[in-house]
Amino acid sequence: MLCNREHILKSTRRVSGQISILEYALLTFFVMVVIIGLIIFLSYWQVTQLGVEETRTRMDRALFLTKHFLNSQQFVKRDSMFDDGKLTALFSLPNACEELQEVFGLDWFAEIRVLDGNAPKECTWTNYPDCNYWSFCVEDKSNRSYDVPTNIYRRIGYTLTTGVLGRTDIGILRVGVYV
Amino acid sequence: MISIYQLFKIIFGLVASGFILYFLIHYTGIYITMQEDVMRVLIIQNFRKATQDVYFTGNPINFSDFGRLDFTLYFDGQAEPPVMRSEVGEMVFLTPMFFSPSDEVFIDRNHLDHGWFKFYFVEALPEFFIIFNPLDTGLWQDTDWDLMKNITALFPSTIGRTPKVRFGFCGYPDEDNLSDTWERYDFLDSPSAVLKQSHAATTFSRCNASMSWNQRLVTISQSCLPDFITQGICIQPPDIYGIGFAYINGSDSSYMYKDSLDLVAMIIGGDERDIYGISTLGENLYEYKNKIWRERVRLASMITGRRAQLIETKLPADITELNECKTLYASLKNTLYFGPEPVYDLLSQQDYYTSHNTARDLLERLAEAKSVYQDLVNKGCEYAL
Repeated sequence: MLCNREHILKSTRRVSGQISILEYALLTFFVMVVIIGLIIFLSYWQVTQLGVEETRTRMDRALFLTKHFLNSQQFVKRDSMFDDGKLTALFSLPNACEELQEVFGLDWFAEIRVLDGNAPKECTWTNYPDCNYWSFCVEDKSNRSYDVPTNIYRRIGYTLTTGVLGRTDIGILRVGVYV
Repeated sequence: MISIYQLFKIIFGLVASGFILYFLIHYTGIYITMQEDVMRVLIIQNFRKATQDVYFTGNPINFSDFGRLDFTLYFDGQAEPPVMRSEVGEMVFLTPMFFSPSDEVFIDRNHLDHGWFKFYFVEALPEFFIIFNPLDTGLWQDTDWDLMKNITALFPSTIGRTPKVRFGFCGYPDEDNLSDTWERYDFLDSPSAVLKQSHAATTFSRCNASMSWNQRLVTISQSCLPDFITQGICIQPPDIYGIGFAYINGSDSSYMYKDSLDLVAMIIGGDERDIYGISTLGENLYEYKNKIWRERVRLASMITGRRAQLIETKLPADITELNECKTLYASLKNTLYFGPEPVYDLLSQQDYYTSHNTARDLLERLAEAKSVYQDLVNKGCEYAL
């Protein structure tokens, strides 16, 4: 009887020891799972942020091009006021887009439209100044763009008997980047 | 006495802890490096945005974010498109910019005025000292001082701002003497400015003082040659056409200049070698200036020339008051685009800034176009820029 009791005690101690070992192993396993899960989550977050960053970079470029168009003396009379003569002189060139791409890079476009209530009429050498629309590097591709109101100085605005007066019209500038 | 079970617990705990710690420390190290790189990219992006804002608005600002981390920056203006290279890659910089890296820079806008077009550019400079050493005497002395005025006018005024850009002299009364330094207002702009003082009795010796990294020695002398100087830039005064030659310490080449911005670009770059060790930073900025100036002015000459022809043809023929305008528009269009030898064609030549004849013709055409445009403005045919 004594032997049985000792045997039972020994067995009980062995089992409880094994349970304790298992506890440790399980605890360690779960801690490792949590740490690895955290690492995977942080990595996934960084990758997602890269996608957001790419979109932000494109919009920043579109905004930069918009500001450049509104301030660049190649196109404007003064800040945010385009000169229709400059726009027409450039637009009527067959390689206007290539010329501008040398300065502004690739994959962008720009449109300027006078808000005069008429249908868009592209400005050419022959119909100037009876026109209201200029476009550069426009293609049928998906894009992200900004639309901003702007002024357009019409050099030959009003023709009088003694001279020609300029006129300022309201328009819309759209500048975008292709995605 | 320690049981086997307790021994197991100790050993297992040590192994598991060591494994977890190693993993955490290793990943943390990678994460820290990654986040530092992300911060560097953000700082360079912020700098690009700051230069763009200054370029568009003309409002100067101070930028000090480069001091937050260690940077190795190199502005490669000759790349297509121009890029800022660093340890985190490269970033495109389309804004015309003359940059000298430091923890803190002052960003300001300036321009070259051609009358019918203004070439705007941005300067991003740390605390800077431009030390002049004009060596010519007699008749050439006034030319030297005019050159100093033209160079100074293209640097920013930093009154009430930091970091400062200051100007001074070296070589008077003796070769090791560095004078006081002044900001642009006191050196050039104010009625009692240093450069407006009488200088007839002032004779400079060749400067022997050593310059620090943010000091630029600018020697002006008829005797400039590649081995004439041991530091900085040496500039020969311009000839009757407004063209001259400059030399950079450490380079055997001569660099032809036709406007003050050519010289300012070389001064800002300095005589230090670039990261590739092939050429000096001054030469790189000089090449960049000529590349970007040509791009912008060539495009502008085409647009303005064609616009002049467009308006000339569209102005009503029966209004005699407009005949003078038409004549001037005809002159402007030919000078800029339609020829003979218009600005557009001259700028289309690759050697326009290295050939004396081409540069001379170009300067003549630009002066002519400026004069014609001013006449158009005076007669009410055009608006002033």
